[in-house]
Amino acid sequence: MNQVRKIISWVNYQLYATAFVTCLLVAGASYMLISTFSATFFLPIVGAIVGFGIMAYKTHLFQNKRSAALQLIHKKLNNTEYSLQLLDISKPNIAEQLQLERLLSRIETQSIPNVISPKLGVYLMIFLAAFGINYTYPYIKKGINNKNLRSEMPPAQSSKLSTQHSEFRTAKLTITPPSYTKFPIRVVSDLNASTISGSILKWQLNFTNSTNLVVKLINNRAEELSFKKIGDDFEYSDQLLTSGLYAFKAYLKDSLIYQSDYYRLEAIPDFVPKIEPSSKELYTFHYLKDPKNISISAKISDDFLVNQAFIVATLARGSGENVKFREVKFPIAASNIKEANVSKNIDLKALNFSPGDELYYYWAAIDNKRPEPNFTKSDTYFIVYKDTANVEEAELSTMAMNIIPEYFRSQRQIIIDSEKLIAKRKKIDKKEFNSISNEIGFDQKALRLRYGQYLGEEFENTIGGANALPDDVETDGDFLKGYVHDHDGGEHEAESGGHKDEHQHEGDKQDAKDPVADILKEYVHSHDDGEVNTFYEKSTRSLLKMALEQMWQSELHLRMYEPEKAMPFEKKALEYLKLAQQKSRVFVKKTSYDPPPIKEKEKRLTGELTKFNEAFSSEKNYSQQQLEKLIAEVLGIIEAKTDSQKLNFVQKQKVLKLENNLSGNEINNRISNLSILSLLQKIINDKELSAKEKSELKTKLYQLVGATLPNKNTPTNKSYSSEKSLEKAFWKNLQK
Amino acid sequence: MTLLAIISTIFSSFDWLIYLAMIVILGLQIWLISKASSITKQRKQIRLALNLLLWVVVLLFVIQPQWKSSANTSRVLLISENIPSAYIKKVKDSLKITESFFNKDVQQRLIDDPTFVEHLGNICLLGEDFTTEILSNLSTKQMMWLPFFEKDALQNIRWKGIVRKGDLQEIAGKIELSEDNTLKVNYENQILDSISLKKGMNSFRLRFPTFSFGRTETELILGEKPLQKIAFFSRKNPPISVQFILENPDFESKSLAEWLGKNGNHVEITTTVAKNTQNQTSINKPTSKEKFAPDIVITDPSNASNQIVKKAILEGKSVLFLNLINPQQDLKTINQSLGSRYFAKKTTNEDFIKISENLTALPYHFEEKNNQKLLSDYSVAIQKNVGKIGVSLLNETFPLKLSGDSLTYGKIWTSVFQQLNPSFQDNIEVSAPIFQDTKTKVFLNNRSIAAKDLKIAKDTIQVENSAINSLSSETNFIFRKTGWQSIHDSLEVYVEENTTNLSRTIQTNEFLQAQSKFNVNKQTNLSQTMTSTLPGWLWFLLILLCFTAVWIEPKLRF
Repeated sequence: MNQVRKIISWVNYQLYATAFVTCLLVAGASYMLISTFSATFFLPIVGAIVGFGIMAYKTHLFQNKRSAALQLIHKKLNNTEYSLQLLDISKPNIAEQLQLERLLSRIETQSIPNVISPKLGVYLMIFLAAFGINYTYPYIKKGINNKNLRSEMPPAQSSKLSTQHSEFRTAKLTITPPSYTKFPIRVVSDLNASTISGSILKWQLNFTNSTNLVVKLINNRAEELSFKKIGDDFEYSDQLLTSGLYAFKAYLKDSLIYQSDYYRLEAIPDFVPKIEPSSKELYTFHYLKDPKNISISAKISDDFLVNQAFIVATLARGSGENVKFREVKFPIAASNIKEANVSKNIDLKALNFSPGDELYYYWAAIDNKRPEPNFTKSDTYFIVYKDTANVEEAELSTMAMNIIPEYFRSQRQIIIDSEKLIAKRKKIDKKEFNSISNEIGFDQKALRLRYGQYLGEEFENTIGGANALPDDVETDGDFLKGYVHDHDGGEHEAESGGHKDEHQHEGDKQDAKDPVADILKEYVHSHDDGEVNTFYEKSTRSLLKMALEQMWQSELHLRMYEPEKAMPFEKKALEYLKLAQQKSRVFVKKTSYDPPPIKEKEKRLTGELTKFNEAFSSEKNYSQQQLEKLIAEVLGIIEAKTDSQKLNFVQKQKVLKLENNLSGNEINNRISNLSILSLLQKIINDKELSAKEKSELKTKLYQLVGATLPNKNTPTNKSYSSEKSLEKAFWKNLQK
Repeated sequence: MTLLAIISTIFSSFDWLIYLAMIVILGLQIWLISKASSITKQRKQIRLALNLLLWVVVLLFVIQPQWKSSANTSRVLLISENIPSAYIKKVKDSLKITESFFNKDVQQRLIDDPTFVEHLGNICLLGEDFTTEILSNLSTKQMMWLPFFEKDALQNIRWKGIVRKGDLQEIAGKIELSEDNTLKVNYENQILDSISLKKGMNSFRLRFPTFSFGRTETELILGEKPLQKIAFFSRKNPPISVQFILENPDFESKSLAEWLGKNGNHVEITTTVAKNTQNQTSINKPTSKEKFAPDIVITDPSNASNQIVKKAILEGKSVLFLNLINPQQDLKTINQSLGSRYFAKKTTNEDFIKISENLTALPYHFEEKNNQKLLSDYSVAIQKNVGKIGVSLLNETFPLKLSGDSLTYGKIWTSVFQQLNPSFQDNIEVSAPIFQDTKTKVFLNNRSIAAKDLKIAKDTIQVENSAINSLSSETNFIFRKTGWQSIHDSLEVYVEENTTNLSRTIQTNEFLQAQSKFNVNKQTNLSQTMTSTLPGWLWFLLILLCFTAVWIEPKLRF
């Protein structure tokens, strides 16, 4: 009995469930279909309810299904004999009871039948189809729209889209390197681009609900460059020239709705061709006997291709003001090379390279960069054709100046020599000592004679009162001769003083005999006479004379092998000589107009003020905030942001200002600032910073501001005020 | 009354239940052993003995036997947690104290014996981790405190809770080190200042100029170990009004005026361009119609006797003299007209001394006076009288700016103006660290509104005016919440949790200071009977042993 009832109730439930699921599927399908083509929320709901209602009516969802269940059981189970209705009879008669008992014993062993209708599958298919349409329709529609352009889009729909929230979807960057590089065109999604300078970059950004949206690219000069709208995408293309940073901003009716992170642009330059000439010597001589064909070579390379290479040679001929230049260009056969060793023969004969000429040449190369190729040139090499005829003359002229034997020893040198000799005294034997002393004495004599010359006492013989050097046979007009020869016979000369005297007397006599000279004597300036010479003014002359006297004494002692005694005289002589030297320097005062001194206090600020506005005043206003102040403020804002609370408007403006300031500032435009910018961007976009990021940002901002801070060793200053009388009393007593 | 308390009261009044249960258990034990038939009589006796022993131990545990002893409690040592026993022993030996109690122990004794405190004489506190209950219970006694600090832990620290931007933050404290180490203060990864310390006791002082506006959190680090968060609030300085009085237009003053203007200050430049003709330039003229009153007057020495300059000094404003030509003569002029006491000595015969690239100064050296500050890096001296008088021996600073080194230019003048700044309004001084539930002093000076109250952490409190300086006032406040708490409208202070040794030290110190003001009775030669009980671990061991014996006995075969 129980088993029968259980079967019946289970089948009943199955029927209800089937009906309910069917209703739900139909309702769902109608909702999907209507919502696909309708913009409102209300209509699909109504559709769903209606669909549910219809199906509920159709499947008799709210009716008793017992009879239907019994019918189904009769069909599904064996041996039920269509007598299950007997169960409902309250008081069955005997036959009915028998039949029931029979039925129950048969059914007892049978399991619950499955009565779920296969029709359910059909409804499921309908629902899935509706779902499919709902899901795929927007894509199909977009495809159609893209083909037929926007004109087909109903105006009502577009206005609907614009009211909805726009969001950044995808970004694509197409990099087109210059054609000469033969690099492939790349499409990347990573917006940090690094490519050869001169590449064309094209950004394509996609936003949901892109109507009325204005997208801009912000470069590192804080310029905003507008994107063009093409279809649903925003496009902007530009040529990459220098490295920098950029970001995107999207505006919807003046309000910023999207701001991207900062991305890096890196322009890899196309380097100029590289020329490495094999010859390292820039300056070479060419001689008559050398071959007239010179071979030069160089290694030329480029990061892409070298389009053309050549040698430019300039021949310079002539000298002085009459120099002519001739420029010759030798192209090199090899072109469009990546790297090559090129060599070239220069035929000097063809250039008519002759002695005295100079040839300058350099290598040059042009690469295949477009529109403006890179040009490079090597160092300039010189080849000089030696002209042997000219050279000798030049050398002679210099020789005359250079080859002067060091004949005189200076007074200082004599002192040094004497000192040396004194120091050496114990080490050398007496004979040598005497000899050296004597030689120094001779040097002293030579020097004395030399200075004596300037005083008019041409030679030692004048000391005896005689004169007339030209007539002196021994010296024969060459004043050097007087002691050149005597180098080894100085003593002899000194001893033969008397003999010379005779000559001088003779000379005097000869002078006296010449009447013309006698007459002229009155009129000519006798330089020969030591007493009347006008080489020097009187004091100088006396100084020199005093020096000479000292020299005499010095020589005397040196010749007597007493250098110690000679020393004071030597020194004194040097002193007089120096004095004389300084004395003879003459300073000539410049003559010009010497204005009378201005009385500053009287004259200052007394200009005429006839057209001057007395109430002259001006006003200035600096509104731009200083970077340091902004950074300080942002540091505080970052610290305050800890409690995961959003920034208020003022704070956000501050951060934004700093970001603009940092990105726009050319000086601060460094790649190291990129991280600061992107972190500030994160703050502006209300994103949480990790502890590490925050620490990095704070450290970097501090480094920007740290250098302007006052020194930590400066004394502290406390802002504290007290009553004036109190303060006055304090300072007064402190100073006591 | 909590649930736990209710339960405990029930059980204490129903102690007899436990004893009853004990008797039942004993009976059960005996019955079970006697029932066992498979064992010999001897084994039965042993088992019975062991069970009895276990039962007795458990019973004793329930009863908790106590015994009394007499002890000299005229001086006792009260020891807080986490102090090494060697140190305790050392203290006991050196102070000759026989009786010592641990913090917890005292708590228990106070509950057990309300008269416990009365029998105590002088109390010596060791460590700082004492609960307020204990301290208040002991408050009638004379107390001595021996703080205990671990090595490499801060013993004391102080810094400014609120600083003006550009002013120097100074962190001073005390620490005992176990080895030589470096103490530094970091702003994230940037070291602001550091000092290397030797092993042993050290006092340290770290300084750095404040660099931000608002909350600033730096950290004190010993070697690699963070010691203390140094949180302070850096407040903006209001713009200052600067007046230039110039004999003739010069570029140095012009660029300085521009720099001041760009930093948001009000600047007036009065330049004599001809006799009785002055050129007025104002930068950032305030919109309000009020008369321009300069905070700082910048001029050259020839204007020392100018009325505006003299007036500024009398009013407590600052004056800065630039463009000195012959310092000794010029300083004499300044001293005569303004009563300052500047003296400079020539240091070299050079025309100038080079301070850095593009920066030179006159070759003079200021003689130090006790009311003068020297910015030694820049040859600038500032004397404080009622007003401040500054003299700069710098030749020209604008070449720095022109050569692109605006950072150094800024640094020089920020340092100078930081010293010359007039005393601002609404000065507030709070010494950090501020701990929760600990009294904090707040000093106020030169308030813009003569109010008698101050707003702190959503509370309004009365302030007390200083008896000496009527412009100053102070108040006390106890912060109940941690974190950044608002104070005086726009300012904030950081309140730390009261969990560190440092905070407890401060609190204990505060308590003892307050306590010392009361008359405490000094008692000597006190003794009291002390009750002692077996410690918990001994009970645990005994019970465990008995159970082990009972468990092992049947497993042994003999």
